[in-house]
Amino acid sequence: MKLNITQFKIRFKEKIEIENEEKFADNIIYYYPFFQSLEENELKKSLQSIREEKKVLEKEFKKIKEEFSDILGEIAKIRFTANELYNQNRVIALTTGLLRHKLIDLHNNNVELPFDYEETLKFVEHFIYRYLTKKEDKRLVDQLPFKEV
Amino acid sequence: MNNIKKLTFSVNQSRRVIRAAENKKIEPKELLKGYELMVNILFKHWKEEYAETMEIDFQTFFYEIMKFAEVKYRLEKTKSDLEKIKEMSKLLNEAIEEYKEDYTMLKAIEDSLRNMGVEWV
Repeated sequence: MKLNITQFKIRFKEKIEIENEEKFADNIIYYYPFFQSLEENELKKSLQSIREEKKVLEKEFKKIKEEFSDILGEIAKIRFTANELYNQNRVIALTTGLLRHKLIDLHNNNVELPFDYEETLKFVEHFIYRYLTKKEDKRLVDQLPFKEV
Repeated sequence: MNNIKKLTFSVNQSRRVIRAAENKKIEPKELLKGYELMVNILFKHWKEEYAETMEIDFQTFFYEIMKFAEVKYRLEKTKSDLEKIKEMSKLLNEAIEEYKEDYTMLKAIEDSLRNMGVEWV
């Protein structure tokens, strides 16, 4: 069986002085995507100003990382609550269905209720559709970027 | 130090190039052209500014610029991720608050039926 091994080559305009070809090739592949985020004027800056700017960016980066980890903690708490609610929903699904049934039953038997029947029934059904059948509330349903571990 | 005009990627490096091109949905040769352009631009800049004094050699110069580019890129990415995650956290908090309000209401309906003496399971 013949193995098809490709070895790419690149050519430069001028002769370039480097110490280690392999390491240089590694760096080219690794850093290219970052290079693309640079703007033309940044390439013309002096090394000194690049170094200073890098220090400023690193400081900002450190601060943002802290904020990021705080918010991840907050989201972990939300997620915990959402999971608790999900479990709770499984328990209350039955009793809520029963509640709806009781309401209809009482109304059909002309029992006087201490609240508006139509509105209450509408609310109970809204609750069922929104939270228990997960048909309506996309926000709780999707729980977006959280993947189940 | 070697003076090179041509650089050959090893087999493993070439595989990385193929993967990187696939991720970008472009042909490897396009990516290779990008590599050439990047080195040419940086080399030209280095030659104009530092070749004479040799304050810094090209490879170190290349590395410093790229480290800067990496920090800048990661900062921008983290900033936009942070915005997204903040928005999401707000949305989820609101959804949970609404749920709690609705659940309290549901409980109140249940309780008033119980108070009426309706038999419950």
